[in-house]
Amino acid sequence: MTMISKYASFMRINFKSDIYYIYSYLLSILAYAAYPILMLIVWSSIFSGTTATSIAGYSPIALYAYFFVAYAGASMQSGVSEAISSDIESGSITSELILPISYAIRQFIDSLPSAFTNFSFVFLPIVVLTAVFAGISMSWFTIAAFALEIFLLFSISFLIEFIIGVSSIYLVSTGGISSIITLLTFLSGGVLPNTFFPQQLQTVLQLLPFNAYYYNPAATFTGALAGTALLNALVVESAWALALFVFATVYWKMSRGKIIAVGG
Amino acid sequence: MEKNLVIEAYKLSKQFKSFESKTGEKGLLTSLRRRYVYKKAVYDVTFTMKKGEFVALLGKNGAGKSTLVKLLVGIIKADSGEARLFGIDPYSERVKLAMNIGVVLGAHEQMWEDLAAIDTFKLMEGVYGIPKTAFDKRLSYFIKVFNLEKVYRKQVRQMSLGERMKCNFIASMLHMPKLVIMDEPTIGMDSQSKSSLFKALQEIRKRYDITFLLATNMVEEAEELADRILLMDEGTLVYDGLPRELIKLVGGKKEVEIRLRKGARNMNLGRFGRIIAHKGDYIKLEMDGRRIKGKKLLDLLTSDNVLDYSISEPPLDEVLNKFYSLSRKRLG
Amino acid sequence: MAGKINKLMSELKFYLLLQSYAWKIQFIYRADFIMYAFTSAIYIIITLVFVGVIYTVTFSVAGWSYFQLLLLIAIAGLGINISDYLIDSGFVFDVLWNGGFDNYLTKPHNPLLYVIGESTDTAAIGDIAGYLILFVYAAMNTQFSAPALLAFLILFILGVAVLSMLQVLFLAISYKFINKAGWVGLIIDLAENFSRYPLTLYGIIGVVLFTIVVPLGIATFYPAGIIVGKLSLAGYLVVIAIGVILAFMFYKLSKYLLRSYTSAMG
Repeated sequence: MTMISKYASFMRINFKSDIYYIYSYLLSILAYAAYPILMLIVWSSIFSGTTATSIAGYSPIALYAYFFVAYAGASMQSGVSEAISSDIESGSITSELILPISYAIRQFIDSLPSAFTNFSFVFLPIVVLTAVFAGISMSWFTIAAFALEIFLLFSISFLIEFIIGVSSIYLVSTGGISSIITLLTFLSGGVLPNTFFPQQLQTVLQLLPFNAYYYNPAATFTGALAGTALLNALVVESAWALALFVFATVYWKMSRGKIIAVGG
Repeated sequence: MEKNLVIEAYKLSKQFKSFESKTGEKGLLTSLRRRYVYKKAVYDVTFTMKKGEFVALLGKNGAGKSTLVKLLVGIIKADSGEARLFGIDPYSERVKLAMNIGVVLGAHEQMWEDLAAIDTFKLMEGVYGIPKTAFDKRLSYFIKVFNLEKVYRKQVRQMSLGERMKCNFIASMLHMPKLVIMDEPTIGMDSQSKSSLFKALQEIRKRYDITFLLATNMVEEAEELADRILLMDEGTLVYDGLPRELIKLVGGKKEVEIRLRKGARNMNLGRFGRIIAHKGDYIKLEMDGRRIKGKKLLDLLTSDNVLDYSISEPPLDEVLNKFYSLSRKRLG
Repeated sequence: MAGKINKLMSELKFYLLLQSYAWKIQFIYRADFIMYAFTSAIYIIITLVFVGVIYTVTFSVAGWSYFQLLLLIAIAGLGINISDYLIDSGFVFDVLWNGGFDNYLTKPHNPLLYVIGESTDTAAIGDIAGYLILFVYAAMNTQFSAPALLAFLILFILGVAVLSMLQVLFLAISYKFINKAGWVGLIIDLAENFSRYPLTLYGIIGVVLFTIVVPLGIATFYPAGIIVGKLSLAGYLVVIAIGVILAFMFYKLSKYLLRSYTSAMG
């Protein structure tokens, strides 16, 4: 119980400072809806100039829904690597390490409140509105799978970000790596659904963890990912989450001792 | 204007507007509404400083020292009153003043963390337009006097806090200002690096005719360095005089904390001063600061009976309280 | 007058000195720099693929052909990254917000120029180089005259100036009212995405929005319009006038907002 209340006090203070910047949530919604709106405009212009009723298996409505849900999902990504590497670079991590709690768990707990507020204020409104406007109906199984995917999206991105953040012990600055991650936006369905890619590339991407970021949740939502393909995707994602968790734990244990030298 | 006055401040006042953040269950709604509160950070401050003086501006955190410093160096504008440094109005002629003063802000570093210290120094050469030969001469002098020969080519990031602060001093003094203003420069430094910093400052002062103003919340710093103390509390100056007299007024007491070895015999510590706490093997003693270096006490503290000891000042709060009660007595 | 010019020259010299320092740091973190450059290259390739996919199903987007759209994307990338190079608004905001601006105010220079010079984001040079290559590639496949190129350059430089002033203005607004700078970068990012396509796609609201309110168009859509011959002389002059007025207004407004700078208390 004391363990929980200890973490709870961190959560409370984070939640408070998040609420304090209420304006930023309004801007967040704008941010996460802007790219889909842009895509809607661009693709509707494209569809209007052609006789085709679907491109790469997507009807106009399904394509727009895909973009909205993919980007709503992006609001559930963790951005913890920056916090960790700035803790390490500034040396303030030493004062974190003397706290009687695990740094990794602290970071995870720290990101929960904003994940929760993002979920309620950004993700859910966009998804519900999209479902209504696009007339999408989902079975209970699909909803459950979708929910699991969102949870895995948060977890996998947290773990990857954590690993990148900890790497700054060795690299001093991780700006470069973080921008490589943004590149994966493209390969994970953030720019176009993966069905636009060549078949071989799609197969490779299905085995990597990055589809968890955009493609899997959005394609599940539009119904493009269903049946055994959906089950396969869930198994791959879960396996990656587990593997990343194990790796992150070992990596952190290995790296922790090296921090003091950087802190100074 | 008297010719050798470096700082003239006349009835300086500054108040700040800030908003209270309300806490409570309805945080979401209330945080959108702001209630402003006004705080008189500096109120009616008048003083002068002569050329060559070393003055300490002593006060608790939030007493208004930093605000006063910011008013004097032209970072912010006074609501009322006037300040002149070398006859220059700090706010309206900020750039002109900046060429004549050096400012060290303990809370804000000016060193470029990613580069070697020497690089920031060279930048200052450009910032102040210092001639090359003068720059080289001054730099080698400062490096020597601050004892940084071994580190000044290291990346600032890898330096100790004390070394970094010394570098900040150099960066602020390479243009040989006639006045150096410091705002809590020793923040977070250990006593060893502090004393080495102070030694260097005294050395520089001996060689060059620089006037110093040091804002601090530590009585011992003021006592050790300054010719004169300005005591500040809640935005106003409450004392302006010699350190000696302030110390005399408030007692100049030190606190000695001692942890005895288990089973150590009674040592009759009462003869050195007043015992203010005694709990098991822990003893806290308050005594006259001048007696602290007495041989008897030192022998005792370094004997086998004592596991550990530390000497400290009573916090500024206590000094201020004492000061107030004494001055009230005087007035009454 | 002569004094003013002298002062301006010395500030300019000082600014260049700060630039050299930014490069010094970049050299220390050259591994990062290479990573950034690599990222930029891949990002541009992705863009090429994406635009390629679009043009497999259509011949024009709002009347712009494949190479014309590439040209627009290249110019947008150049304009935005040059302004990113000049001002790292996150860095400047941190300095303002943490009270670090005090230090700059104790120095004998324009403090805002000082901190902006120190914020120079040399990493953007990778993007700039990448988009320059894309620009050359697209321009080689587009027909335009020499005077058009000159007119383009004039408007483009004005557009970058407007964009940089806009960043300063956003910074001043967020410092004064909103307390968090994240949204400065965010709005620029959003506008960046939108400015990669012809503004006419967004209807009259979009044109007004990106010409006057968040005037990225002055550095992207209109300069590109000159090269591809979609902007008339009259239109050109109007855009130039709008650009000059906006740059001046943004400058005055930022100065006004930052005028009452009071350092973080304490």
